[in-house]
Amino acid sequence: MHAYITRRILEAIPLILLVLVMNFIILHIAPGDPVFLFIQGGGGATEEYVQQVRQMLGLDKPLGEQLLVFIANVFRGELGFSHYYQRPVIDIIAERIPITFLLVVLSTLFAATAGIILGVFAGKHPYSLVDRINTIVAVFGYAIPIFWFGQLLILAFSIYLNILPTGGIPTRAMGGGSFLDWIRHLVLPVLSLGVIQLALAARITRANMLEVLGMDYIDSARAKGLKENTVIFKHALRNAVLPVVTVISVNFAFQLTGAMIIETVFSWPGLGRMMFESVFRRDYPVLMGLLIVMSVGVVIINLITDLIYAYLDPRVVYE
Amino acid sequence: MAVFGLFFLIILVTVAVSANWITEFGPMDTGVGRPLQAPNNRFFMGTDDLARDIFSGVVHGARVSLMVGFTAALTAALIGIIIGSISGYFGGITDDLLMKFCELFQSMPRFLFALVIVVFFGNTIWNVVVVIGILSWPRTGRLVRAEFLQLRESEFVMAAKGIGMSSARIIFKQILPNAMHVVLVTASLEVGAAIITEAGLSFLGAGDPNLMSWGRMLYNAQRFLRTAWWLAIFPGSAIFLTVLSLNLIGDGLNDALNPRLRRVKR
Repeated sequence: MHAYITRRILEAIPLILLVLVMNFIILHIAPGDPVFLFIQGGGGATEEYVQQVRQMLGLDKPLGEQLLVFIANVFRGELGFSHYYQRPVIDIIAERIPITFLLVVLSTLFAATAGIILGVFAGKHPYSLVDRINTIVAVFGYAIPIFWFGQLLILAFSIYLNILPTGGIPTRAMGGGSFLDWIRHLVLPVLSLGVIQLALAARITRANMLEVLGMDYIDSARAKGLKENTVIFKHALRNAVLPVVTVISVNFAFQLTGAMIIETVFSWPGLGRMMFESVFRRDYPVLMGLLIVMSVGVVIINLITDLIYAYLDPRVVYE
Repeated sequence: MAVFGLFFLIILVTVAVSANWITEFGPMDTGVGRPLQAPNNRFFMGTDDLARDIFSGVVHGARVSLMVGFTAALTAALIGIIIGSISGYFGGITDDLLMKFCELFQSMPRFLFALVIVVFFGNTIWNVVVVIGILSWPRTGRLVRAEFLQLRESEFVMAAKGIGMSSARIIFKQILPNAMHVVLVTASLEVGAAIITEAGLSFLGAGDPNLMSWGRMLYNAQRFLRTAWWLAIFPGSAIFLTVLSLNLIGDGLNDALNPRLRRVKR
């Protein structure tokens, strides 16, 4: 097991470096002198200042050396300075990560739980009403753009029925901030962000349930005279849900970028909202920093889920 | 179901091609009526805040979406075919390296990369197409590779090698035609995915400013959700129905062309 963990970590390191090289390449093949990407509205800057920034970022050195400086800077957490916020990029990103993570984690939990429940019942009774609902969820979940789904939920629940807020997070100033208030603000974003993963989890669980229920060990469990619920939830479910873990982890990058769009719909003040505003302001250091943090983050999170999976499934071979 | 998808897609293509004849106003024409009019006899999808005709936007948006969807999927398919076939046919170290490359692309947050590249390189429609195409090849690449790994051991490939056919000819003339069903199914799903990605980029204000696209209309709708539901309902339905049709066609193709992979579903 330890050997496996070590090997997976060692495999992730070159991947992280490659991801950083990709980021570096994008920065350098973009039209124009990269130094101006770091100086907001480059026109007003003095020649002296331009040189100073160039030197600071190591942009006056040969390309190979620049790459090393770039990677070293990333590992030191130096991602540049945003002139709009007047703060280092890493600080702005760090303070918004928890707000975005709350959304991503809750929507993933919701999608996995609801998807597995739906999938189990659909797999247990193929072609029943639940199975049909499952099919409809899958068909819709794959085709609906999540940001439009978010808008539809706002139209239905916030504007027409007027029972949930249109967006934002609770603030103490408005007298909010209670647990219930947080829930009220979270329902719609979590629902719209979770819809694709929900469809995926439900479909995979269903297919696996059908497969697992046909296996010999299920027959023998039934032959032993175990209750049907014990057979389904203790014996079948365990093996049927494992692939869901993999799928959800593979799609984590997708979920993270989905959160950024959903935040725009619901004025959720996390990374996505910041990204949206930075696109609007052409705040290049923030965008570049966000891309670096996200792409490295995804590799690390995939690594963690791989390790969790190995822990959950003893059949994984640690060669 | 696939027939419904095909039917809808054919109508959509017809609408996109004849966009200029079926709409009275251009999609960018402002002040064609009063602003923010609800759907009525004259503007049956209503008007937006600058008094642009929503119907015209939806119809012309079909052009943008279909163009982006098909071109990006084609680009992705071409890259996927080339990398997948080389990887699967030659195997060994070539395969290892190319698959690492593939893994790299798969572990990148694609949408964010697309967004940053489009912002850095300029938000023209062609940049959007190229970026989506370049970022979407891994799915095709992996599937093509899997087919090649299997087919390269088969007798007809042995025979082709035996008569001294070149690798390139074996890859493109012998094996590829047998792997095309995988490419077709994946491509139909990639068209839908590309349409949603383009809509997402436009929704964040990173689309082509000179074209009216469905994502851009939804971006515009966001500010007026409370007062003008029609700004969101019509363009959104257009995206949803288009992607739905493409997915149904993909499912249909999968069932028809590839009995081996047929799902447990009905």
